[in-house]
Amino acid sequence: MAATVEICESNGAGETVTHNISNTNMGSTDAANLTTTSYPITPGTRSYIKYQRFHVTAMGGSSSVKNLKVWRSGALSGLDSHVTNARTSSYGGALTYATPVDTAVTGVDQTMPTSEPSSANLGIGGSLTGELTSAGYSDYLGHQLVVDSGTTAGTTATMYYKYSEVA
Amino acid sequence: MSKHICGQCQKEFKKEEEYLEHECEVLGRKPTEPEPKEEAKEE
Repeated sequence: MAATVEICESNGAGETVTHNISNTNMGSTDAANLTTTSYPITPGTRSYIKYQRFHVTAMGGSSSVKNLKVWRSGALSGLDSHVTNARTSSYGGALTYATPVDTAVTGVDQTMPTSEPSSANLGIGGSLTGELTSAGYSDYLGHQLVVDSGTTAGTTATMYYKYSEVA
Repeated sequence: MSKHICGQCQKEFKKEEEYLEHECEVLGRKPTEPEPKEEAKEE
């Protein structure tokens, strides 16, 4: 058997956790599994930040889950940018959850990679070399879309969430 | 107070343990159970 891993998103002041999300659509509200057309982002503003985590619900006989990587494939609209706390070096430690906002968040200022990183860029227990050896969560992945003032329409892209599993 | 939602069947739970023990109507399994392997087709 293998470990069972899902991606969870946290929203709201009391941190409601939506487990095993269906999408990571960015929008003008703080909610999981967004329908983008219902929550368009005004040009010149940001989406609400997403706080997401890898969640190991069961180890399935494996000894560890580690080496977490996140990236996006697919272009953004015009001069839009996609920022994150994920980084392969000088990792800032575990991002602290806060009620999601549509403004800049300290530490969530790296450019989301557009190809698979060469090494882990999201930590466990505050460290890129951290491991999960039992059910539990990764650090929070914070990411947000910065929409340029000249943007007139969004695009569709794919987010990748990858991990290594040691039998 | 935090709550937990299954992102697949949309059921809400007060505790994470309750979420982990529920059998998701959409997935047909508990969150702690692995995805079923696809059966090989006979030719």
